Amino acid sequence: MSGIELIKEQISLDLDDGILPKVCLNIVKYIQDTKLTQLEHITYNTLFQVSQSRSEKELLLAINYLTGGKAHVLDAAYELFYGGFPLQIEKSYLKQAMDEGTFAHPDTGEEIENYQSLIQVYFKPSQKIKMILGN
Amino acid sequence: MSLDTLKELSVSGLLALENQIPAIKGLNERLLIDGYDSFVEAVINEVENCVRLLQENPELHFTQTEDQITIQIRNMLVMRNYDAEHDVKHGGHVDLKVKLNDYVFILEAKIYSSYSYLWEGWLQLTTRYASGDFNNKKNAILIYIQEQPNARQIMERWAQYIKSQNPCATITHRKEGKLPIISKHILDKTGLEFEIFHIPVMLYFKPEDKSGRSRKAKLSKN
Repeated sequence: MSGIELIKEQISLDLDDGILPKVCLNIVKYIQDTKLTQLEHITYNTLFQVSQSRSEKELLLAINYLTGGKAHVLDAAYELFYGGFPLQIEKSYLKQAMDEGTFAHPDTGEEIENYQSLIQVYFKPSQKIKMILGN
Repeated sequence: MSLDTLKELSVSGLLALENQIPAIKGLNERLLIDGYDSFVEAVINEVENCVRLLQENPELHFTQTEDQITIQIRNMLVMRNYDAEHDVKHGGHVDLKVKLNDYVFILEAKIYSSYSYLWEGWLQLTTRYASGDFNNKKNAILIYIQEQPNARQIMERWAQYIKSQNPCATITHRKEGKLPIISKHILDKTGLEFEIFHIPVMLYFKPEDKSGRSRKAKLSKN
């Protein structure tokens, strides 16, 4: 059984009823059918579309499952929308800002008050998935 | 109602949704894991949440075995979507092992009966279970306190006992004014610093009112 098939089996084992396994499997199928190079910036809205979730809650439950546990299909990444272009924000930088309660623009040092609403979450395949799909 | 598109997900939006959907509580902290230290921090925070839940009902746990309590913590971690396993082989049968990618965090559980018994947990962790390598240099001992009152005193004396056994160990409180402590010492096998979180789980139950006493008697029989 291939690595992806094992992940699908894990999803079916862990999530044995309702719509959630179907939503998760739709996301896995999208990842399986898409070139790895095109998966480095998967938006929340893309996940919503490809998962065929019926609500935001369904999608979030699927993201919650797929970003951890034994399946661990997706990892998160962050980008700041402030000024001209989106700027990648390191997780450790954001975590420190959230712990300390202040966020300085990584390039200019400008303190940004409402930074949490200006930083968006997007997704990429986990290391495990990259290894599976890379082989 | 079905939706065609969603707004993109901001950090503030995610935090607000965590408050509305209990099943995804702690998701942002988990998504922010980007190294071993943040992995351990996220796991420990979640374990402490589990401990708080257990402590809400000591009458249900004060006679339970180590395994029964540990499995409940394991189940709560799995519900929070951590890859947590009980009684898994890792240099011996560890009580609880949490994994993410290469990262490993081992929790050894002990019902407090004596400091020498807790010390066995220390020895199991440091000489058998933990590799002490970069991906497993922090671990924990869960101390289930069922029979004795005064958890603060137990933790203070446990800290003294550790120092008596390992004078080079340094011990600090995990958070100011809180009971969990952190010990650091050099692990023999690696020569590197090794960190252990010591987390008390306060399950002592001795009600003094009439209905509480009879309930305890009933629970003790079962």
